[in-house]
Amino acid sequence: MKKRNLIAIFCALAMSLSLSAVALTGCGDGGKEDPDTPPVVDPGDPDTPVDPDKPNPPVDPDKPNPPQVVIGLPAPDRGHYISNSDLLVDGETRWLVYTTNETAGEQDNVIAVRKGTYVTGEQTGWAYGEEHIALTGGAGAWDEYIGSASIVKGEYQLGGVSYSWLMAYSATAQADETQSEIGLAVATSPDGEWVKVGTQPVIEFNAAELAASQTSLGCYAPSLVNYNKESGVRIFYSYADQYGHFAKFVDLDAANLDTLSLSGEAMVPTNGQVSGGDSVTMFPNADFAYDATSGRFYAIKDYSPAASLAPSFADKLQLLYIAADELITTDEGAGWVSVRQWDNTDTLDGMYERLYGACIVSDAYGHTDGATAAEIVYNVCDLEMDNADYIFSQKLMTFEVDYE
Amino acid sequence: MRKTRTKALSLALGAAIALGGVCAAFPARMMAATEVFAMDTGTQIEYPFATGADAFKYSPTFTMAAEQGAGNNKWEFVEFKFDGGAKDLREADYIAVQIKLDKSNPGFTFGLLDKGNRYMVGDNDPFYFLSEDGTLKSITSMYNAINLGVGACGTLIMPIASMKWQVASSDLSAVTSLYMTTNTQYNWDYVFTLGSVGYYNGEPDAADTQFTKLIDCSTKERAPSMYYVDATNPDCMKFPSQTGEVEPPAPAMDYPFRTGDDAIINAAEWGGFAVDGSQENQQTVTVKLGTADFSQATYLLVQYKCGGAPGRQYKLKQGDKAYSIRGKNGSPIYFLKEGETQSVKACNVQNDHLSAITNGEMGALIIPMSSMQWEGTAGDLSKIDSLVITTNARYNGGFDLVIGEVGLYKGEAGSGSFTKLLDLTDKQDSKFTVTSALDTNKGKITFFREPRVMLGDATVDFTAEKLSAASFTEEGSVGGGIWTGGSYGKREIVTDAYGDKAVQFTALGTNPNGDGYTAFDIAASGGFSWAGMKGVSFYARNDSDQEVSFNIEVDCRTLVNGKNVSDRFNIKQGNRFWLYDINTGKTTIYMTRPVATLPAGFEGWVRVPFTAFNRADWSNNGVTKDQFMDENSTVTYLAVTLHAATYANLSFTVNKFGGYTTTPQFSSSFIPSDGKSIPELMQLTKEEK
Repeated sequence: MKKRNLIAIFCALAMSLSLSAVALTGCGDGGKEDPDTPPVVDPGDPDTPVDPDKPNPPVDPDKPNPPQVVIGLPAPDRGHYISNSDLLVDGETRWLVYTTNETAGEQDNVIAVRKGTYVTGEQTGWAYGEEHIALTGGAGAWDEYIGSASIVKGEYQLGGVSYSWLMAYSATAQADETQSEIGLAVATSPDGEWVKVGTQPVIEFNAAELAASQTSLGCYAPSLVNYNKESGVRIFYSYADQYGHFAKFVDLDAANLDTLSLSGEAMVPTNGQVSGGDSVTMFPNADFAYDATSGRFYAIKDYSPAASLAPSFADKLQLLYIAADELITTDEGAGWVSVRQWDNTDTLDGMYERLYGACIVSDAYGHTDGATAAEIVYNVCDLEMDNADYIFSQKLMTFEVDYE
Repeated sequence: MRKTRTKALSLALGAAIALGGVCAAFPARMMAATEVFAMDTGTQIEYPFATGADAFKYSPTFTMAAEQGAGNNKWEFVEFKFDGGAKDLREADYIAVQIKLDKSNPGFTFGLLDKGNRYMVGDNDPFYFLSEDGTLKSITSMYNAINLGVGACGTLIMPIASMKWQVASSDLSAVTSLYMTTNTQYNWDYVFTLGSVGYYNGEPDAADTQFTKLIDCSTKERAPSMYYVDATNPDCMKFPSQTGEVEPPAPAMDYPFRTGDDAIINAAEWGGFAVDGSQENQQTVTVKLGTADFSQATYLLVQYKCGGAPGRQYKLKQGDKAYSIRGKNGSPIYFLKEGETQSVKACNVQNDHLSAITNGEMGALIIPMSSMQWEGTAGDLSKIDSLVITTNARYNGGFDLVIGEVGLYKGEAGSGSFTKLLDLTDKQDSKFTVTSALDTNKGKITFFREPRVMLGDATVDFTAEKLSAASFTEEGSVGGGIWTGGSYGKREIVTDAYGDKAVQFTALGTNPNGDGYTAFDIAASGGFSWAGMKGVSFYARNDSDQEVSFNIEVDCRTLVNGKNVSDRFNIKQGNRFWLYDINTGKTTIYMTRPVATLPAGFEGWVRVPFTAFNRADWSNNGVTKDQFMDENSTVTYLAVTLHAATYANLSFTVNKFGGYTTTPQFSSSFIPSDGKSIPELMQLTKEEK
C-alpha cells in the first residue's frame, strides 16, 4: 500500500489555481465553498443565480471541455455527490471507485471510476483523471437502482473471456432503495467496459422469505477481498433488517463466473472492542481489507446508532482488526481490536458532523499485507438544517493512522 | 542401639560412622537399616515352641489361591492378631514365627501391623529358619519376601533389623498383629500352617535375652476372630477341629436380574470417599424398598459389582430395627455371576462385615437370611422398608460399588421363587440416598444411564421416539407438553430427513389469556448433561415458506457455592450459530434474528454455541453465564418457544437434540474445513449429507 504525505499533498493542492474545491486535511479551508468565489453557473438551471455584472463565459457547444486533472481526492461537481468510495493501489495506479449521480440534481446513482496517477513537479500527489461511468442500473431489472460498489483484481472468466477485475455492487428494484441485493460485474480494466454477471443478484434479499420489513435496507455496501490473489474472493457486505445492521460475508470461487460457486453466508463476529450504542452490537456499512502477513482482517465501519438529526448518517467511524481465524469459527477469541475512532473533532474545525461510508485504501486485491499504517477515505456531508440539499454535499475526505 | 558384638562391629563400623550424624536425629526404629545383629547359622538357639505332634496341634492351616492370577492378581492377606491386644515391640530384636509349609514354597511377605502401618520384610536382607531339631538356616529375602523351602517346618526368625516400614514410619509401640501377604500372580496353590508367634528382646542365645509369646497356639485353638483373612477362598482357614466338616453347597438358581448391556442402566454407583485412618467416618447408602415381606425369605439378593473387597455391613431395616450380618461372623455370603446359575462363596462374614471377592464382575450378591440376624430387639421381617449398606471410611474407602436391583428369594435355592423389590428398568434415583458422618470425606451416588447415542461428536439426548401428537387451543389442552400458560400451538409427529420420528411444532396464534409465546417441551425433566460441551446440536427443518425464529429454553442445574441450583438460559439476539443444509451442502454461520432462526427451505443440522445463551432476565438463582454447562451441570429442562403471533401457522420440525463437543469451521473453495465441517464432525455418510 503506497503512502504519501497527505498534508504536503493537500497544501500543494490548495495553492493550485485550477481547483475550486478539493478535499483538504490540515490546511486551507477544508474544501468548503468560499463565499467570495462566484458560484458555478449552469445556464440550463433556472435556479442558478446569475451575476448581472459578470458575463457568462463563452461556451462553445462543439468543443468538449478539456479533461480536468484533479490532484487529491476529486470533489463532486455542483449538483453531484460522491459517496461510498473504494480506493485501490495497483502498482503506479490508483483506482477510485465511488457512487455518484449521473445527472446533476438527480439521485440517479451510477458507479464511477477514476484512474489516479502519482505526479510530481509543481503539483505533487495523486492526480485523478476523468470520471468514467463504469456501471449503471438496468431499467426494469433487479439492479435498476444502484447503491455502491467494490472492485478487486484477480483471475476471472465469464463466457469464455478472461477478465482481471471483479466488481460487486449493491442495487435494488425498489425506487426507495430498500431491499438491496448484490450483483457482480467484470472488466479487463476498471476504466474499461464492465460486464454484468448474469441477470440476477448473487446475494439475494427476499424480504418475504426472510420475514423482513419491506423497508429493510437489505444487503448493501459490498467490500471485496481477493483472499488468495487468484480467484478466491470474499464478498463482505452489510445486512440490515428490522433487527439491525450487521456484516456478513460469502466466499466466491470466481474462476468461472458462468457457474457460480458460492459458500454459505457467515455473519462477521461483533465481540471485542466494537464501539456502538445499541443494545445489540452492530457492524454497519463496513469496508474490509486483509493483511495476510499478520493474518488479520481490518475493517472500518460506521458508528451505530446513526445520528438522530438528518441526515441520519453515522457521526463516527471506527477502524478495527480481528484475527482471520475468528471469522470462521464461533469460538470467541479476542474479537475485534479497535485501532482508532474518529468523529467530527477529527475533521477540520470540527465542521463535519457526519462521517460515514469509509474505505481502507488497499492494494488491487483488497490486501494491506504488512502495512504499519492505514489510509482511510470517508464521506462527509452537510446537515439538513444547514443545507436542504445536503445529499449533494457528499464528498470524500481522508485520514491516515499508524497502527503502532 | 544397645548391641553389637565384636564380629559384627567391623562390618558395621563404616556405615555407622557415616550415618551416625544423620541417625541421631531419628527415632530408634527408623534406624533399623543401620542396626546390626549378631545371629548367624552357628548361633545356638533353644527352640521356642512346641515340637513334634504338638507343634501345630491347635494351629490353623491356610489353603490359598488355587490358580495363578486368581481374583485379578489379588493380594491375599492373612492377619494373625496378638493375644491380649497391642504389644510394645520397641525392645524386640527378633520375631519368631512358628510355621509349617504343607504345600509348595511361596514367597511370604511377613510384617507387623503397628497403628495401621506396616513394618515388613526388607529386600535382600538376612532371615533365619530354625528347624525343630535346632538347625539354623539363613535365608535372604528377595522382593520383600521369604521362601522357606518346600516342606519347611519350624520357626522363622526375623531380625527386626531386616525389616522396614512399607510406607509411613511408626515406632512399633503398639503392634497389634503379624500379617502375611502374597500376590496370586506369583504365589498360588500353596498351603501353610501358622502356629505360635513370639519375640526376643536380645540375641536369642544370650543369657539375659527374654522370649515373649505374642500368639500362643500351644494349648487350644484360638478364636477365629483372632485371624482376619482376605483371600480368594474365603474358607481358606481351617482349624484342626474343623477337619471333616462339609461345607454347605453354594446356592444355585436362575440369575434374577437384568443381563447384558442393559444390566447396569439406572443402577447406582457408591463411592467418592477415601480411607482416612485418623477418624471414624461412617458412610451409608439407603435403598428404599417400600414395604417388603422377608418373613419367608431365604436369601436377600442385591445386584452387585465392585472392584475390590471392602468391608461392609448389609442390613434390612424395619423402621429403626436392623436385620444385619453384624454378629454373624463365619457365615457365608455368595456371589452369582451375571447370567450363571451356580453361585460361589464370596466370603464369610468377618469382623461383622462382608468383604466379597467377586473379581469386579457383575452379578448378584446372595446373602442367606441365616447369615443375618436382628441387631438388638427383633423387628418384623414382613415390614422391611429399606436396605442399608454401610462402612467406616476409617478402614474402607476408595472403592466404587454398583448397587443395582434388589430382590428376595423364598424357598430352597433353585426350586423356590424370586421377587424383585427394586426394578431399575426405569429410573429410581430417588430411592437411593447417601449419608456420611463427616463432611470432609463424603460418599456420593451416581447413576448409570443408557449409553448416549452419538452422531460423531454430538450426543443425541432427545428424540421424538416417545412423543405423540398434542395441541393447546381455545378448546383446551390435549396430550400435554405445550405450556397452557402460554399461547396456542400444536405438536405433530412427522419424520425427519432420515425417516426417523421427529416432532413438528406449529404456533396457532395468541392466547388472549396467556403469555404471547407458545412453549413446547422437548425434555421436560432433562436428565442429561452437556457439561464441558460447546453447544446445542439438533436436526431442524423449516416446513414453512418463510424464516422462522424460535428460542431454545434450557434449565442448567449446577453447583453454586456448594449448592445445586438451576437457572433458565435462552438465546439472545445478535449471536452467531451454525446451519448445515443437507440439501444444498452449504454451511452457514447465521445470525440469531432474534433467536435461533431457520431460513426458508432449510433442512439440516443446527449448532448453537453456548456463548449465544444468556440467563433469562427473570431467572435469578445464581447460575452465571460462566457456569452455564460447567463440569457440574446437568440439563433439567429443555423446550422451544416462539412468538405465537409472529410465527402463527408456520410449522417447523426438530429432532435429535444433543450437545456437540467440537466447534465447526467455516469452509469454502479456498478455506479448508480441516476436518471440522459439520458433516465431517457428525460423521454423516454420503447419503446422510
